[in-house]
Amino acid sequence: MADNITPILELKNVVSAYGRIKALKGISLKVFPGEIVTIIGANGAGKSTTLMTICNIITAVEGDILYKGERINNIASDILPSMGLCQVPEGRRIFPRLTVMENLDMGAFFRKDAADIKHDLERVFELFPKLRERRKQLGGTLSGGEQQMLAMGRALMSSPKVLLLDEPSMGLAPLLVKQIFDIIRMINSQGVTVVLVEQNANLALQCAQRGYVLETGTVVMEDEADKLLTNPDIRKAYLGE
Amino acid sequence: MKRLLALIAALAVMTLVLTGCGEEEKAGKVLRIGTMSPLTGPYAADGNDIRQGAEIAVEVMKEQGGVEGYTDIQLFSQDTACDPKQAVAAANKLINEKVTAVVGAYCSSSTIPSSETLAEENIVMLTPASTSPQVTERGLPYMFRTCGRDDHQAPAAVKFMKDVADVKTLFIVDDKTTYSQGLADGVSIAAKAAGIEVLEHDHVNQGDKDYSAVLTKVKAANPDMFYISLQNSATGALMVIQARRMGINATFMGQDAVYHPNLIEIGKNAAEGMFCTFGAIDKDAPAFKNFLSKYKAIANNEPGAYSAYSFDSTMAYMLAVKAAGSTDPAKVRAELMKLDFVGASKNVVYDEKGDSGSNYTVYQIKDGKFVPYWNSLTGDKY
Amino acid sequence: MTTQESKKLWLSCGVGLIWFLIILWPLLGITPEGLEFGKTFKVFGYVAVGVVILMLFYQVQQAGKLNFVGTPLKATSVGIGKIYEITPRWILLGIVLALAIAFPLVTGRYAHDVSISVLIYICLGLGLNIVVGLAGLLDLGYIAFYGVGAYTYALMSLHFGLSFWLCLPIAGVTAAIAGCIIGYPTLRMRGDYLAIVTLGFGEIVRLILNNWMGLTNGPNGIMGILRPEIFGFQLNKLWMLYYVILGIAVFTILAVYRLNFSRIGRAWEAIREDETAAELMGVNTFLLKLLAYAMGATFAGFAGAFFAARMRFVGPESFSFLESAMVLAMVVLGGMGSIPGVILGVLALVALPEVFREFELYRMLVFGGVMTLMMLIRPAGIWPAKRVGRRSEEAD
Repeated sequence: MADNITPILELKNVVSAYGRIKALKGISLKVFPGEIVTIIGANGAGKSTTLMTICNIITAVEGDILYKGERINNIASDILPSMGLCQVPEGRRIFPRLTVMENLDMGAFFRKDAADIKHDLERVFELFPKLRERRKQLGGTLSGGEQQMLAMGRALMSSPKVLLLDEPSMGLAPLLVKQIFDIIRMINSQGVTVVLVEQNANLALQCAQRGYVLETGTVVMEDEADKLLTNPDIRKAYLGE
Repeated sequence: MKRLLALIAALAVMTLVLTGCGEEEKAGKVLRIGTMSPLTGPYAADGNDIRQGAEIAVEVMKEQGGVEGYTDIQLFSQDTACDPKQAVAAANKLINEKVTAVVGAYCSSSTIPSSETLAEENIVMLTPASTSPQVTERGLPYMFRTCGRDDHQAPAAVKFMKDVADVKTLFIVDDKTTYSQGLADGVSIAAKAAGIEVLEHDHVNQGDKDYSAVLTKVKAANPDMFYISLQNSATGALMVIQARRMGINATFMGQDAVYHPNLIEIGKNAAEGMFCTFGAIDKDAPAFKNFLSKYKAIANNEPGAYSAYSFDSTMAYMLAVKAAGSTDPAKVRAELMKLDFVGASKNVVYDEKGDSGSNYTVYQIKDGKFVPYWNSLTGDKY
Repeated sequence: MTTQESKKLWLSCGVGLIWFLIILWPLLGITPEGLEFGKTFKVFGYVAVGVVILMLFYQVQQAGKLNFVGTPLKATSVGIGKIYEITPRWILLGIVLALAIAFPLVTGRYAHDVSISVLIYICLGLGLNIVVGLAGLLDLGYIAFYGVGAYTYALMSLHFGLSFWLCLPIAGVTAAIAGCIIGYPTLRMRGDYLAIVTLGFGEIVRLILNNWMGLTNGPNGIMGILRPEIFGFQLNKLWMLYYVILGIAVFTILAVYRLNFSRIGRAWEAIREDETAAELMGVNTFLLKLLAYAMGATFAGFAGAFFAARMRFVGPESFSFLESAMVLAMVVLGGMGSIPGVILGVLALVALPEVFREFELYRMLVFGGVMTLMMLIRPAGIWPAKRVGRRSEEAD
């Protein structure tokens, strides 16, 4: 399934820091078009930092971030969605005092193609029928699961080529988590590359094709997902055995 | 939605109250006079003096039989807080009260804008305290000034410095307001012309309480005389106290805004020996003694620096209305021009511009009291 | 109401009164001449009697004894509410507008004066609402733009004799430029830092106005500013000025209304809600925040130019931090983000003290009390933006 020629997203020895503290100490990873790649690791390993660095919310101090082969280190964060790179941040971060509709509209903020936007909106409502029901409600009054759906729907409204997901399962009941992951698979089958950062390593590795294991800012392992699932060290450290 | 209803209801109530505020009972030919002065804020002492002076004048006039043709004389007092914006609002409120004359204001920066508002309605304005020359230089026909002007006060002060105090070096400080700075500039120019060396002309901000920055400069310059041009006696006292505490030995001199019993009360020892220019009020004149006794009888307290000027302004207006037989501004102005009476503060005669002449005297604080020291008109010491 | 509840009510009432006495005496009783009690007890007496009467009234009402008055009143208000609901929006607004136009014809000069102030502050409040309410940028130095607009017209009028109508847009532009200058350094800051820095800039502008004697004539201000003219006819009367500011206010209301429901308004709100998330969704937060400052400042600039024309005099003391705080209070009190809310807030803070002028010295006390009461019973503002929702779980 993976096109082995050019990675759609690539990090080369990326170092990024919070002030003096280095959060990422030179990580390299590749994401090929059409894949689901997961980044797992303990709390504080640097997973969210990786996504934020890709999106240039945190500026990389060293290294290269390549999107479709081009260096995007210096491109402003707000331009990336128009290039097809969109993130669903950790903790959902929907806009609480805007309605569901307005939240979704914000996802398509930079887009000018009204007809296509409408089309995409329909698709989001098909994926998440609950959102259609609640479209006039304020985002802040939605339950946790619904907010997660809203956040994903919002990102989908940007018509992304690469979707970065930061801990989509966090704080959700198991049934909802299963729903979310089914939807992630569905989105991926429609052609969207997914980079999935997760604490729930089990689910993540079952969903993804490949995985990277992050520990205190460095990549300690990279392999196919099912191989990682059966790896005894990984099982001991992250899969609770 | 109930909220829009609430908004409309609120608007309706507001309108009713405001329109209600504007109406008055059937006039029945009442002479309505307004006063504008700072009743609150740092200049409240002088502001209240002005109000009281007017009140007492009205009482005295009523005792003497009132003004023919008018069943009553009513006084309306408004607060300017020495803020131009509030002064204009106060003027508007007084216009709404249908006054025909206003005694006020205190600060020149309040008098000037509010006089323009009053001039639009041809209301006579008599200021008992604003000394900025601009007040009467704008060609307003109904603007009168019962106190002196700064373009006389400044030369008088400098004459004193040169001829009497033998000052060679001078340090001037003002607070940048219209009145204070105008006067300070006048002193600076006159001093230079008289051959006195002006070491520096520095500024503080209105509302400052700590003058150490500028006083350090004064101490370093070591002038013969330190001229303090501020807006009121409290700030003057602060300046003087801080200066003495720093060990500045120069002779202090202030102006008519700083001249007030408060200066001595607050400044205590630090103010001892300080000079101030002020319009000469002959405390021995029978007119003043009369004024003083009436004042104490009605008000239960001593008159302040501006009470006499305010009293005279109000008296002048009422006398002019009496003579003119109406409140028609043109007629009243004609009568004011003809006026020549011995007021509590001085001989009140108005010239073409509305000024009544300046007769500045230099007072000195001796043993905790203001004592006349030198008369600028005659050049004699007391 | 049960005896238990009644006792509780009277107890809390009593405690409140004692508390009031304890606060009141130091204010009234400590004088330079010594300690006195007479005045304090007199004021306390009035207040206590008033409170007791209110409490009794309340109790009677709770017991239903006043229903003969209350029920018909309630029926009337329900009836009025129904009429309100069926009337289309534009008719209601038309009525309000008609009342506003007719206002000066039936009121005196004092009412004109107050209503002009109200309209000026409405423009200011709505402008600040863009910055604080929509974009969520806590600007404590907003009044600086008001000052820039005022001095722009003052100087243009004085030195070049330009007409008011020409200077109005110029003042808006200079204020917008000031907005960009002041906004730019704050763009990386959030929350408290933003507030302090904007406060600082507001003060800087005031100090420049106060000290740059050569340009602004310092604390003496600029005098003799011309009134607006139409074809040579000077708009000298207060009621004429009322219509000018009414026009400006209506324009501001319409503009802010359009902005509220535009893409830009949505983007501002997104920035307010979560700046990082907005950035990730493709919102250029840098430019939009700058735009918020600039637009808010523009309306302040218009209001400032009018203020200069109305007073015919401007001085730096009109543009102090206290004024900024007052405008902010109007926006917060009235309900951030909502246009009618801001208008109500302005009425409460500008017109209400005038109504209380009758109380003279106690005006500020009453005023402060009303403010405190407001914050207790309606912390979201008298009329917060129309955003209500229920938690989805409750709905199911």
